Amino acid sequence: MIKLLPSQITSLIGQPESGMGYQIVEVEYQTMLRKGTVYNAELLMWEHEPRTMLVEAYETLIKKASVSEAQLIESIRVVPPPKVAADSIAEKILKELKELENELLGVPGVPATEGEPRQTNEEEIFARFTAYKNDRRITPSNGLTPGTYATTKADAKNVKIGSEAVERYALSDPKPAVYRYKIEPRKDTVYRQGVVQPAFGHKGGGVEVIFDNGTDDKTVTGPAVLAP
Amino acid sequence: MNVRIQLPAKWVKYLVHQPESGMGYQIVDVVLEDGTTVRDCVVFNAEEMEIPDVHAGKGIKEMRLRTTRNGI
Repeated sequence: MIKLLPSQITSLIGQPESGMGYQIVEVEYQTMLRKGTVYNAELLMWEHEPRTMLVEAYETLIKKASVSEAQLIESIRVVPPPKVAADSIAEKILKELKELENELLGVPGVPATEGEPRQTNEEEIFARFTAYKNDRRITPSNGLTPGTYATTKADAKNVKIGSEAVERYALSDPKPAVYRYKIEPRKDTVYRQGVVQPAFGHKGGGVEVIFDNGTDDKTVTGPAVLAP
Repeated sequence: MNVRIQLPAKWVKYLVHQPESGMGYQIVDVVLEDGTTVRDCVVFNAEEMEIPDVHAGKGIKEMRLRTTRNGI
């Protein structure tokens, strides 16, 4: 049980709660990554510590908590909540309308990691740009490994040369992404879609998708080779 | 100055099965064998990692994946 430092408290106040009055956190502590719960953005209890201690008055707990151990914390961050169950149809329609409105108004969207899970339609096509011909995200049986990024076919049409892909998808590698793989997932493959955020000195702004579960075998072909 | 190093096969195998942080790259924190922690290293194609040149020859003891680009 640790009483956090004022700077750590300030950091946690700026992060969302996991439930009323508490935050589930990941803590870098003496080069280890540990999990715990922080109460009132101030009192950290490790995952293994018995919650029966909490029956004591909060003030008593704070007095008992170790202050010196807080110095050993390198960083502390709230674990994002798991995705909730599917929205109702009405909520889904409203979200899609909002996305469409934002698109028409040119409002920047959220990254794919914050997008809602959706499923591919029949014969929907995606593309992936890379500077590496031996793209390690493509399995030997020509599927994508879980957690792989790509873009939509429509958005890929904006990219004619490898350096354009680097800028549009804010790729970390400055080498031109001259290899373009075509992805044709089976119908109902789960993915999330969003907008590439500026990063690594690039504007981003392209459409990005992430296949959380990857794609089936024989869904990736290519690469086509672009000019640098 | 950063240099690119080729990751040992063990780490390539590990990273291939972890999600990407963006198209074609992953962001990791690494703990080196001398105990130094180097944050926000970019790994390209699960095989080449950028790291400050002063740490280039050191072995990697631990690797933690960052799944978002926040802070970049």
